[in-house]
Amino acid sequence: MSILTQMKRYVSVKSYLIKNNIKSVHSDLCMRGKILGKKGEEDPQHETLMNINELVLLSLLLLMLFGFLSSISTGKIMVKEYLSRDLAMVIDTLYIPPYDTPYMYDGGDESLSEYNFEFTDGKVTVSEVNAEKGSPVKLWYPFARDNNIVIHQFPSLANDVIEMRKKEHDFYIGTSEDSQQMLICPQIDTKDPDWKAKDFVIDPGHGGDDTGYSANIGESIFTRELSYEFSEYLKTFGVHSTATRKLKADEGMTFSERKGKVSPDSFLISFHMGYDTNKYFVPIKIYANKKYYETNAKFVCILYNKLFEELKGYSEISVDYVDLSLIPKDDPRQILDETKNIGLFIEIGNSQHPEGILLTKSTYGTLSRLIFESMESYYE
Amino acid sequence: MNKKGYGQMPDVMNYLWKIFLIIIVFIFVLIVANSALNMSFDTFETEANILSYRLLYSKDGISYYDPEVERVYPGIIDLEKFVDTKQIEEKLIETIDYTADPDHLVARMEIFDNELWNLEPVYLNRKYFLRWYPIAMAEGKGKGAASIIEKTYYVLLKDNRTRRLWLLENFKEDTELRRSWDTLIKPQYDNLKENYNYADVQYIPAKLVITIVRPNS
Repeated sequence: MSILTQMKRYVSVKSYLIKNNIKSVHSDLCMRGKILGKKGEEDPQHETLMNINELVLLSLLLLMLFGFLSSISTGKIMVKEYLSRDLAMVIDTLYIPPYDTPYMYDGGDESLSEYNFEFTDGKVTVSEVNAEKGSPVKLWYPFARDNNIVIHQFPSLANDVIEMRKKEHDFYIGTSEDSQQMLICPQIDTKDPDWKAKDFVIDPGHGGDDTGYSANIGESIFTRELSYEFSEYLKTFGVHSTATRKLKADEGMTFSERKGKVSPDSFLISFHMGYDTNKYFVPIKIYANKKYYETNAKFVCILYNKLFEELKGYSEISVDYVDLSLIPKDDPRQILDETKNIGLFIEIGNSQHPEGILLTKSTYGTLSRLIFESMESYYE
Repeated sequence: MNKKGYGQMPDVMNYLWKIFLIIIVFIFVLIVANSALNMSFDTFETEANILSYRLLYSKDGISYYDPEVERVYPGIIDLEKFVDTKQIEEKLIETIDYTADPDHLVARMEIFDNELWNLEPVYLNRKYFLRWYPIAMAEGKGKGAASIIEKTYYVLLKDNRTRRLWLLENFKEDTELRRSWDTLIKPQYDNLKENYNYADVQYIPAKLVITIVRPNS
């Protein structure tokens, strides 16, 4: 019996049932023998169940087909395929130039915030952020890894773009995922109960005619305001500090004059504003004197971890030990050579960023607190 | 068994046959839909371009790189790299490493100059290239086959002495010049081999052919 014939019969049965107001199919149909022909020819209950089963199966298969077509029509599979290939080729391209290369990947017309990206084991893996738990469909595409260059994936502030930067032996890729790790700090005894009496020197970078970077906010104003906030914060905990230039008014001082205010025993913190042509790159860079690496290592590590814990949602936090003999004599970082004690040159944010993230007054207090807490951890 | 003695089995068989038919139709529709939608991208040509640029222009590629000034000289091939092919191939595997799919793209670089001086080719992943190259040349289609792209670049070979030594060595094979080997050529050859001047550089026009093969998967 064909499916069509069975369906016709089913419809006639249904109309018969409605017409005669019969609720129990089994008793009435079997006893009267009106539906399935001659008595004993077929088991009507069995036949009806079979028909229902067939209909259920057909519906399931149709549902699966519609599901498959729907996933294609929404374009997720195609987009993931496209993004993984495109990103793999972008990475391959960025490996080519021998010099530092920044790049912002915006994904064309696609919204990158809807996807998760992984750049591990020589492949770009793309999955949906809101995929059903347990079985997110991941698509990947290989890229040619350079084993001399380490890939760092770090959380990015920028919306809907992936920050990429090849820098000597490092390849930084900024996505919304959290993959940057905290550091394990040196276990050396640095306790000092009288630490608050030490010579703390705050250096607000630039000043006077030397305004520093002045794209969105004057660097000399920013460093002065941040230094003032920091010195006031220290004061509330009984820590006295001196500054290399006036904090309440803009005073023109030469670089050598500012350097002259730092003694070999000073605990120096020099504030500066970061600069990067890539306007979405908003890092915090900590520079220390390579010559006094052992003196600086523990404090730098503690500060890094504090910043990482608190500001990990922002951007890359990096540490660089500079060989001051290799950089120009007028480089602002040369101030680090004035002290044999802990000396940090901290570049914050990016003056080119349209929203001036990390350069606002609300973050001054956070930075001051984190630096002070690092001091406490180091000495107590 | 019912009253007439007919069994239930023929109905069950009929039922199973119907399910089987529905599934076959479903699979057919799925295959037709899938092939009509064509969800694959062919990016081989772009990838081949990127790879050839990487072989040519990155500092670990075949171009001349001056570490003193950290500069790559695009279009100038360092002939020294073609003398010890094993060393450059190991370097290429290290710096262009398709870890996730080792034979994703493989390549061969050949140099020809106007005197048909054929150096040994340099491979990116020699093992897989030699496996896939004959398959690519068979021009098969679909899975199991391979695609091939050849890129030709006109370059300069930067040579200190390699090519000149080779030219002098060739005189040994030449019947007419063999007689003057001991008296005229060998002293030049020995002198060049032992006391050559690094600053004495020659640039020789040549053709570089990069053959890139990708297995279809």
